[in-house]
Amino acid sequence: MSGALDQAAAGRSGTPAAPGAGAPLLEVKDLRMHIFVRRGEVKAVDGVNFSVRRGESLGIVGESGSGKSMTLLSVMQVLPQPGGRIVGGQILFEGEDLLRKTARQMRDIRGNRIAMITQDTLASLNPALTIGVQLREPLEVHLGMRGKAANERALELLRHVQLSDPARQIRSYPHEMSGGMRQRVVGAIAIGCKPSLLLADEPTTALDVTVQAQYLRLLREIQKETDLGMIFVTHDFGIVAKVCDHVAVMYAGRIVETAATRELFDRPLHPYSSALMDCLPQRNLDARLRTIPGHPPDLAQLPPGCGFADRCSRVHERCRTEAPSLAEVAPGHKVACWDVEGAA
Amino acid sequence: MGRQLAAAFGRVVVTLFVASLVVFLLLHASGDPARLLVPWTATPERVAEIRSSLGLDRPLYVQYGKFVSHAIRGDFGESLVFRRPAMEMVLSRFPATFEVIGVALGLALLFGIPLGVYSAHRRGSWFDKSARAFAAVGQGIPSFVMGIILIFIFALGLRVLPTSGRGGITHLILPALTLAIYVMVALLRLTRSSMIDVLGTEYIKLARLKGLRESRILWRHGFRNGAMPVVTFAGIMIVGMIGAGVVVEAVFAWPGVGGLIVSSVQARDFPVAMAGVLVITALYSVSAFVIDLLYGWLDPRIRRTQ
Ligand SMILES: Nc1ncnc2c1ncn2[C@@H]1O[C@H](COP(=O)(O)OP(=O)(O)O)[C@@H](O)[C@H]1O
Ligand code: SF4
Ligand SMILES: [Mg+2]
Repeated sequence: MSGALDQAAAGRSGTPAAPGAGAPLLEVKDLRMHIFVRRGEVKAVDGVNFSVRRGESLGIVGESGSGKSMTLLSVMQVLPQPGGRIVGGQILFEGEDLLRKTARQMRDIRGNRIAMITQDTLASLNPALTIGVQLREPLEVHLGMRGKAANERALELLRHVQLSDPARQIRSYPHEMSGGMRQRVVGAIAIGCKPSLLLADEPTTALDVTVQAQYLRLLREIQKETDLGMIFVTHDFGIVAKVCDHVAVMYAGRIVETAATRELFDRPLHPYSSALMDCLPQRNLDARLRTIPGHPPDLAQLPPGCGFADRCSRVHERCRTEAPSLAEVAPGHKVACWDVEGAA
Repeated sequence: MGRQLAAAFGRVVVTLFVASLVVFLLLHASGDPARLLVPWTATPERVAEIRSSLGLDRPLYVQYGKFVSHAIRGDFGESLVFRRPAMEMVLSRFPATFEVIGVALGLALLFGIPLGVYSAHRRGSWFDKSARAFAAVGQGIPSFVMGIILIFIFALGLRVLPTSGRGGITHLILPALTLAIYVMVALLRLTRSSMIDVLGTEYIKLARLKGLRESRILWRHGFRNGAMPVVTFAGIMIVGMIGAGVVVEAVFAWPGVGGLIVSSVQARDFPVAMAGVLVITALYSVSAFVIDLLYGWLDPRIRRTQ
């Protein structure tokens, strides 16, 4: 029933496990970020756990509104203002807890050791500044590069992301470039200071399919070259299969299942993961694009039990009163569901 | 740039022409200067004599044509009341006006913009709340009341500043402040709302994610994009304050151009009123041109189409 997708997943899991060795590059433990708004407390990130190693890429998938972007922004500590606040957990990056850093120390890490490509890449370049200014900024701030050196490096970065005619583009403004080109510029800004961790938030949603494929290939190449750890947020399982070593499925501010990509594709255990996969056009031969019936819960008024209970076909009594937590059911495969043997 | 200048010059000429025609017609519709120039006991013959000596008995289009042909040659006629060249009278009042407007605008920009930027940055904080309360109060009080309040506090109460007249810097403070508060408050609100929009954009988020300092994010990435409405308003206010200044000039007995124009209209002193209107219109056109140039500098997307 599968085809191309599973082959892609198989290809991915075929990569050697070597880069994964040693301590994780990033380890997020029980992270909680709530947004305090007038109507209440939006639990956008509600006890999230995951880790990423050097040279490894983790995919975070889930419906829109499940807290994927907020998770990445929490790692960067760039929260929605006013109201966003990290209320608990740890973010261990290269062994240090980022939540214990001062604002200044965090500024030195942002855009330098950890870089992020935001969701709406086409809008993320400043319309009033040239590409060159925007590219040089992190180089100046973090690496102390100035003048000619900074300019040389900026040109090199544009060549690196395969932008044609960098010498001309560096003087142009964002509105003078196509969507695909702007995307590449944003990528170039992100890798400018040679980060060890790259967070990419749906970096390809705004692009057409060919440009998307090129951009994914580019990100993969950059990752291999620099042994970069990468988190790739998307709602597209197809991209996960192409790009990611591991997957975390996110629902209502929590990770409900995580496993190696191949494992998750072969054996999705959480009812939400299976439902997501059933929605894939590749898996559904009747060709109609399906969606999961029902809506995710209001994150300001989460039910006491499992957040998926109202939409779950396997729901039972316990699900409505007690929230399941993530438990390892097979090596590297964790699920939060009362209906999975060995879980919760 | 050359073409831009030529086009701007063309616009100035057209604007001056239209403004002078409208004001000319309004002035003539408002009454007969001859009546005001003679004692009320004068005979109708005497009034007619004066009218004809001033050329006021000719058809309107002839009078306007004469005005234009003289104006082009730099002759704006003499004051009917003071028998002095009208333009000279108007220009002699401008230093006083520019002094107070310049200081007022400087104060308004210096305080209004940073207050607006930091209000937006710290939205919902006590700083923001006090700034907005200040704005609401400042905008609610008419300038003549504000002027009187300031006179009471600083001139009569604390006795640190003079109540009226033009002299050294101390004479300048109260009228400038009175004029500045309104503009400052308007700039604060405008900057705040514009910056709230800008601070919510993706490029500001990216600037944060790059690890830039907050001040750089606010000013270089933020205000640069949020400045457009602020620049427009400040530019319009340079001329707008001449009008708003009339009240302030009256309260503080400040010898500015606004008061001169008002009294010349009241006295039907047509040449002075016309000269005043022309100068203010020209100023307005020049500031509109400067605003256009600033737009292009602020937003490269406009630059290309200019
Ligand atoms: N500024 C904000 N104020 C209140 N709620 C917000 C804000 N930004 C995001 N949220 C809420 O946080 C939740 C998670 O959002 P997000 O992380 O953007 O989802 P995803 O990236 O998975 O689509 C959503 O329910 C959204 O409504
Ligand atoms: S815990 Fe219960 S409701 Fe939640 S996914 Fe599992 S079976 Fe469904
Ligand atoms: Mg998102």
